[in-house]
Amino acid sequence: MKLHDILSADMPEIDESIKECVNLGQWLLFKSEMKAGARAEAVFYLKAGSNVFELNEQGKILQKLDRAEEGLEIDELFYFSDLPKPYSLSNAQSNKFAA
Amino acid sequence: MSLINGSTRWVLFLSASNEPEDRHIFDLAFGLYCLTTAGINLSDIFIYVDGKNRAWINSIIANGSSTGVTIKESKDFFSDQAANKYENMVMFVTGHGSLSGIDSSLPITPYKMLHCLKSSPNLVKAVVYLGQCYAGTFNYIAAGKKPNAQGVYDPDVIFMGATNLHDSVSSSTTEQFAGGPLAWVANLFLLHVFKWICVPVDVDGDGKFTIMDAYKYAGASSNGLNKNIKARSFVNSIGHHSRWVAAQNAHAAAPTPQNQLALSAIQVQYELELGVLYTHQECWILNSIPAQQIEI
Repeated sequence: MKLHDILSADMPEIDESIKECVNLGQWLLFKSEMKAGARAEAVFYLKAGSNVFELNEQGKILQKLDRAEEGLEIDELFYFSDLPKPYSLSNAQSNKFAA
Repeated sequence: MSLINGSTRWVLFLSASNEPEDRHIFDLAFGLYCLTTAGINLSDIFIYVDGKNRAWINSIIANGSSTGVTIKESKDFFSDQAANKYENMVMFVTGHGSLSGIDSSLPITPYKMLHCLKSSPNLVKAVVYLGQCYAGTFNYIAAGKKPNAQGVYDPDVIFMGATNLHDSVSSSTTEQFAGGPLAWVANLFLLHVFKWICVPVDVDGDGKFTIMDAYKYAGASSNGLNKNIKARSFVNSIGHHSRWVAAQNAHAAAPTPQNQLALSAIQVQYELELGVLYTHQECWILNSIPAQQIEI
């Protein structure tokens, strides 16, 4: 799986709350070599809970896939570099309880 | 002999009555990354994940190891255990749980899990970390070793729960994986158990890194974070409420797929913040005396 950072302006068709869910790891924005929906303009997939949506280059929803993510796999995963991402709950941070 | 240097089967386990949640698969991918980073041989790590889309599951688990791994289904765990050749087993359970036990097509009850471990051939010690909600249903059962009529002891089983008779707490984090940093909503207790295995801490100061140290470390770390997360969630939920109302109004005015998805996105975040605010978590350990002697 390859990781990519993109700018939120690269996907103007989706709301910032959706991008926040992606950065928080609640939802997954990805590309898959398996083209489940087969719409020609489909570039990205968004997995939101158990639903999977096909998106075009700008983030516009093309369709919700009827059979969820069947056959899909994550080949490339995307985050938004200009929006907050969660901090690591690292060993050092978690040891603050002892301070 | 320590667990890592001894004959130990390491089990990453996610059963599900429907499709598994991605965050739970990420829990196990992170576990795989930490186990291999700690020097545990990939051939001693066994992964069980339910779900129809095996390619999807594989693509997430692959973040834990650059080398390919075999992922079986939860039912295979029980048949594999019946043919066990290892002296020790360390098991990490993520996924959903309820009063009925661990979520599965047939819920895995405490008795079913205990019976499986107690009847495993060659097994001497089993350590089970339970991350699911209502893990406390596995407490107060006969886990300690006992002799049979011939004086032969059955396995000593140690259960540890992320939480008692409550939901368990998960929170967004970004952690290092084999291919780079990934974000997901991690089970707090399991996250810190895995971190402890990567970088053990001698909490009680006896000069040994024991299972009891791991329990205290994961419990204190997740409790400390839980407090901070609740404070942050209170502030976040105030902002989320107005955004949620605005998204509802936008969707009511123009019920487009874009607006529906935007509403769902803020609702997911709002519900997560509210859920954390009202979730208590307190870990527990059963059969704690041998846990003080078993070294990682």
